[in-house]
Amino acid sequence: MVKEKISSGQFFALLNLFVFGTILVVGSGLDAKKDAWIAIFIGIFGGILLFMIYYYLYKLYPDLSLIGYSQKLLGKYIGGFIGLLYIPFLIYAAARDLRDVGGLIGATVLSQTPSLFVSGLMIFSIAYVLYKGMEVLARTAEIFWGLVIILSMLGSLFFFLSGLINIKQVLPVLEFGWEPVIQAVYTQTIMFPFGEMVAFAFLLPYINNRKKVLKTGISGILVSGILITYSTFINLTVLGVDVVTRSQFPLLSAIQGIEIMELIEHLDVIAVLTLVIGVFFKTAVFYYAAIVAMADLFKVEKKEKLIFPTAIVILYTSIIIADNFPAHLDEGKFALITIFPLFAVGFPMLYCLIAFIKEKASKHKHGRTNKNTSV
Amino acid sequence: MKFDWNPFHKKKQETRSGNSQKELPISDDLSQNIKRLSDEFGDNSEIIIRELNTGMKKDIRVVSIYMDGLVDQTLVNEFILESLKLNHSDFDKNTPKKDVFNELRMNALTLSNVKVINDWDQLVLTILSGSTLVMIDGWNEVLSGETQGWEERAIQEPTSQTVVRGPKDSFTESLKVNVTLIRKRIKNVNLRVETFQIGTVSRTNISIMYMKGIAKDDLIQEVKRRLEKIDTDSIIESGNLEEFIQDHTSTPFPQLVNSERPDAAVGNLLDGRVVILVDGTPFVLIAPATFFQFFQSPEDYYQRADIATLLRLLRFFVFFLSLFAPSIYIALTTYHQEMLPFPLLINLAAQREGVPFPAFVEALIMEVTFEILREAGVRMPRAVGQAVSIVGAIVIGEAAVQAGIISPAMVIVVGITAISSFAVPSFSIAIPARILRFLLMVSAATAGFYGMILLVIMMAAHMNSLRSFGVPYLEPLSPFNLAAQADTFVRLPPKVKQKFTFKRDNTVNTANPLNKEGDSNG
Amino acid sequence: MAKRLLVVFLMLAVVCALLTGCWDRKEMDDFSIVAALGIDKVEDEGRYEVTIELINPPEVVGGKEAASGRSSTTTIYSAKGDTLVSAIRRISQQTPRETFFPYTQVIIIGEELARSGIEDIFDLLERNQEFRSTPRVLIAKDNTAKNTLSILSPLEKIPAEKLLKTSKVSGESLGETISVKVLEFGRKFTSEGIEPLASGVSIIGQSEDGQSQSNIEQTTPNSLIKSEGVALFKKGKLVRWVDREEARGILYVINKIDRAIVTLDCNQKTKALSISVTDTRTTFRAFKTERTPAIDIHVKQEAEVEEVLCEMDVADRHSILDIEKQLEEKTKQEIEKAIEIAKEENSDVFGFGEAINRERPKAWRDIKKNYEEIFPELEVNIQVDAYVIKTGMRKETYRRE
Repeated sequence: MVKEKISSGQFFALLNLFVFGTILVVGSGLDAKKDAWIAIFIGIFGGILLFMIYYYLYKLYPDLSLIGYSQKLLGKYIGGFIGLLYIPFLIYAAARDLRDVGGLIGATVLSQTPSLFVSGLMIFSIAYVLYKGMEVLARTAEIFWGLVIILSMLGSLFFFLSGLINIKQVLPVLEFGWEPVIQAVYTQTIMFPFGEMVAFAFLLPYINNRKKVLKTGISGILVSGILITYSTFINLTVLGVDVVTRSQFPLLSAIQGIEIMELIEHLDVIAVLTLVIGVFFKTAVFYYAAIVAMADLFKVEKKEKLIFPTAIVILYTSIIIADNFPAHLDEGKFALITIFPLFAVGFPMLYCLIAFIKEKASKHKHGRTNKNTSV
Repeated sequence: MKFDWNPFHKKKQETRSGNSQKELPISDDLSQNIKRLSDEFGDNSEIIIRELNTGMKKDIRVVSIYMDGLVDQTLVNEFILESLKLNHSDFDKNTPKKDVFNELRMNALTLSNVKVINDWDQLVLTILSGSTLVMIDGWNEVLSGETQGWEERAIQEPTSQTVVRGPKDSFTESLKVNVTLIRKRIKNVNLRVETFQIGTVSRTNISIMYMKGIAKDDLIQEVKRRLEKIDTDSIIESGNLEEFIQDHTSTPFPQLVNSERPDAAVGNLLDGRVVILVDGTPFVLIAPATFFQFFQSPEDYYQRADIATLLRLLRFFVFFLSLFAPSIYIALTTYHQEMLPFPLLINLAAQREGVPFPAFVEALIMEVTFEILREAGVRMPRAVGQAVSIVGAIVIGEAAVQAGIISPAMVIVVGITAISSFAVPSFSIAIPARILRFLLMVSAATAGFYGMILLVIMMAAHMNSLRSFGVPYLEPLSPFNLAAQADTFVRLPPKVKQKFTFKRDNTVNTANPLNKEGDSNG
Repeated sequence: MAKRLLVVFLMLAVVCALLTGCWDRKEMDDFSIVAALGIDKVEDEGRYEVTIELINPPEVVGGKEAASGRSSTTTIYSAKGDTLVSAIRRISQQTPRETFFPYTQVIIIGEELARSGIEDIFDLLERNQEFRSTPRVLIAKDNTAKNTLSILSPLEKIPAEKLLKTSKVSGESLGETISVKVLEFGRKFTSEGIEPLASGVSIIGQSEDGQSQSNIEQTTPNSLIKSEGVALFKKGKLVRWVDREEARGILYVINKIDRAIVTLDCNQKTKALSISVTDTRTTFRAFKTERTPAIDIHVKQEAEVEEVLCEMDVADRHSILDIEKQLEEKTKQEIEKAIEIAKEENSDVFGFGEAINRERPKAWRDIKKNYEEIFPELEVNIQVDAYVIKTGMRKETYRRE
């Protein structure tokens, strides 16, 4: 079915970068104040549950993308319609991430450059990589995963060396009890970043080693989740909760403070680049998922043909979704409790249910007639 | 598809020799054959046709034919002409010519390699390759004796890939010598050599060598298939051949390693790669090639592992510098000044004072100047070399700075870049760095580090899309292969390596060129 | 197609680089580097007077680029405005080049402004991406920031560097000043249960003389900058200067002392023994008493004997014990005094409130509202452990008979 294949290691890298993607830039779960890191940590388990849903569907239809089994389960038209809805959703998600980059770059390194130009460069670079195919994307992700990990290890080493970390700033733990934490978990941290993993429902058929998918997926979520928990924790210990909640880009503000031997300082540009790498791959995943969805739905043979037009649509969407960056972030909060749950949890759950019932039914039938093979 | 520039190209069908396609018989009339030969060779003064009579009564007409200059005159004189002149038993005019021919073939010619030719095309080719032919009147087969012997460059020290410690011999222009240089290092029957002739006009001999049992059969078949598919008039250098058999054309990255060192070729053979030798050039091609191979020097394996590892890391750093130094300078000084340490910033700012060009233009001028100097240095006659280097040093180093056109820091940056590009062990991998450096400079001038990181991701993706004979170009980094890390960025000592990896270097072995699906269980 | 895309990308890049783009590109000679930023309060023409110190790089570096050594290494500009940004914009009317703030080393606040409240100025420093979180905050004691910045200094070519280094060196060797980053200062502003601190700088000598080049050409300059005192803030307003030992007491508690010199009594002779404190570690915990929370401070000190002006056998274990005891006593006194001062001003610079919040969150919620009344009454227990670990190169002093 799918010719290009990615290894489970590459899937792991891609999943990691995807999760780091924008969350390192803008942060998540800050409604839980000092306990944001706990909220993210709990979010990991929500993420794993979500992944189980996608995995269940993947196991039933290992060769099909979400569009494929949606049509199988709900019929060509209803399934197709829901599939159709996924396309704007994925494009919207890609556009949001692109906007994040525009905002980040605009606020830090290129303050006077129009964000159309910044986003344009980004989306065309992504388009170039996607032309080379899914496999190239995944293998490139593998390399940059290594780079990001090395840079973040260096970064946290610098944090320790410069003596900025002050654990006292996150104490007391659970100052206001579990309530705000749980609140933040289900309004923010499950959906962002983990709910966005629904994009992988379109990419799972590319993985060559099917047996390892579950293991790799869960370990990927765990590792990336723990890393973002760690990063949030560092942000809080360095900046204090007040500054973190006030900052648009908390990690950057934290890194700005690093000062070692009057030589290693002003590292924020390097941090920005690291963040750009994450967002690059995250956007690429959404973008490619949208391409896969379109190709599946409209039976397009050559996916390459879709890449350029989609790039323009994403670019345009990223410009029009919000008037300014704060509005964009605000809209993001809204999307996290409306659009994302519907697409990331709602529909997949529905499919799971139908698939489960169908399977039961077919087993039943199977038991009686002893003729049909399974679906 | 290919740009057809060669006027000979159209005559391809006529001149093509195709072994079985158009077999021309040789006449049994000697005079006719001689006439035909002189017709084909025209007024060529090099062809020597020596008629003589042999036999008891000196009544059997025999002709020996060779190209002057391609043969070893002593060999021809002593072992062919001399033996023909000797009285051969009791032959005379009436003996069946077949017996005469066989007698000459079996007993008379005192050369080790004597062949029988019965095809006209083959005959012409044999003459052109420097063999001496013996024709007998009245028989339609011809004897050829290997008498090649022309002036050749002796085996010398390598000039482009030198080592401090290690063998000092290098390949020469002679295919035979080159094969021998490899063969004498591997005394194993599994070392196989297969020879092709490529080029409808030049008929260049091309040999491939591989270790049977170590090199993958798929790889060998693929190499052969590609060689056979070549459709050209001539192959003059291995570089010509490289362009025909490489996987991707539109990329600055070399997809085959070239080497003039027999020890490097041997090492690669033992790793399961295929070595392609082209007659007339001291550079052999090694396939498949991965990006990281270009950073390995045979000397890595002759020195202790610790220093070899450090040097290898240094080479990656040097490559990085030669690729990025000017663009990083541009990005830092025109976009991200806040990243510079305070004293350095003040220093650079003081230097910039009064420089008329933007940093990007400044860098461009200097880089182009440097490329001009480099090109001049390579092409010009040796005698004027000194003059160019003096002018270069004065123009770049002194006058530009003195005049305030270029800031001194820029000269340093360009200098570092230049030195770095020479310190990369393989000349062919320095070339993409040379080209991409300019792209990076443009991206740095456009959007600072942001533009650069995007271009770097694109470059990585581009390299990831490359394959050399089916092997992913960035193997073993991506797809990641843990076992191969023992000898990629670092070189572990053999004893440690054995513990680290059970198999031998499986970079090539696991590669599956026919199936586009690389093994990737990283 | 992929190639075409690459071509499009590159063309875009080239076109931008050469013709239209590069919105953010600025060459090094397009801007001048700001080394220090001074903020003063004014009455007329707006709220603030902003003073910036611009660096003249060729003069700093020297060499042939320097214009015959006539111009000075830095230049001071100042302008007034209702907001900091409007004042800074007004400065650009005077300067030929754009100002460049990321290298601002110090931010000096005039005493008058500090006393009337500085909570508003930190918004710009946080919001604007050109400002970093690392500049040190200093308060111009009894003077304006403008005057302080105007003093040229010997040894250091850039006055801002001089300010920075003076405050750092005196902090390190005397333990009576503190270098505070903007980030930290701002954080303490906004946090509950802690108030910020900053070091002061003052001018010795007449400040008019200090502004000319001749000031640094003399071996005894007329004007000098001195790092002195620690300013206590309360709700964004400077409330009190503390000096010397009192300042040291505060720094002991907040664990900001690297080195300090303490003079102790020696046998009968007073103040005849110099002890240098080499390492101080302070921890404090909040615990709950019946009524309100209380604070336990624990200080651990390591010290060396530096100078002995009396007959004392420092090789003797008993005298070492005596010194340790004296040192403990002295430190305790200093801390007690410091806490007393803080309580007088009702400014919790130590962060006791934060500690209570951290360790007794429930108690904190009860007292948060009226912490101002509780702080002066707060029970504080101090325990000091001092250890003399070195006595120098001699066992006993030569005056011993």
